[in-house]
Amino acid sequence: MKYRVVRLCRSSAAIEAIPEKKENLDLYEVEEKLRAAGYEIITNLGPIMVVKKDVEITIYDTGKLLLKTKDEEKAREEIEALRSYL
Amino acid sequence: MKLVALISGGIDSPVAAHLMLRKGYEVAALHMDNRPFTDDAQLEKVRMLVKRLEEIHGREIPLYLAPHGIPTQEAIARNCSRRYQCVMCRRMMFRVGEVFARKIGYDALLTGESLGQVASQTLKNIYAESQAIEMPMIRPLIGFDKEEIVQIAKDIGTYEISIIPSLCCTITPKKPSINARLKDILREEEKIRIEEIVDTVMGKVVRVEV
Repeated sequence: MKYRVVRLCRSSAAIEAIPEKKENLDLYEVEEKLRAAGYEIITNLGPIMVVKKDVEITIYDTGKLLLKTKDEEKAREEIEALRSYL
Repeated sequence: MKLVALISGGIDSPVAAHLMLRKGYEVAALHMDNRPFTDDAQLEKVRMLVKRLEEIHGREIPLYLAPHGIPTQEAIARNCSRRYQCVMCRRMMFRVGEVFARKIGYDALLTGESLGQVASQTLKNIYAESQAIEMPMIRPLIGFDKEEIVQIAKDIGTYEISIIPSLCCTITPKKPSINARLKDILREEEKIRIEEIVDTVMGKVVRVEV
């Protein structure tokens, strides 16, 4: 998956990544892949999943990501690591 | 009269608490912890806000924390119509608030609601939310404009704390109901175990130092 924008979110408290095109991810499938890759699954509601490795990340079924960090470089690293599982 | 103030970390709820403290009412603060659908910054803001209110009024305001993101928001999102997430979220907050208030011997809940300000605060939604509990709800800001609330927040020094960046609720639906009918909400609530959730939350309420 490719991301069109990586920027501070509206509240300036996190980094959001907007995909080039809206996806329709099956987050239950994604959950299995991420669990195997060592991510902690905090919750998976279907349309929204919250996972954690170094940074807590909210994953939406549209492909949008919300990373709980203000460090853009760190966020880009996390997105790169996560991207292949989506 | 003793009031349990639901304090969110935003601009309105500390102002509401301030107005009632100014009138001499005893206030305890209860924060519904919405993590993982928000961030740690919210909690820090709540601590700072309560501390500021203590400074202004020269008295202790006990602060309590109740888990809300998990299990409550999670249960609603998993089982109920997405459009009612916010109304059902508030009904659950009020239920926990009511049980908690009774447990510590308080008389009423205090919120920063202001009519029409956000999707959950339309007249119909406020009505549907209020019906979740029997305890009186005090809403000192109900007829205030946002500008008036902001001005008071600036005057009392809570505004600068409230606007510290923190994550907005990530579980809010794209199109929340602004016209919730109580009978629809009651039907949705049949899909979750309300008493069990309230009991779970109550078992995890902790007092937090400010």
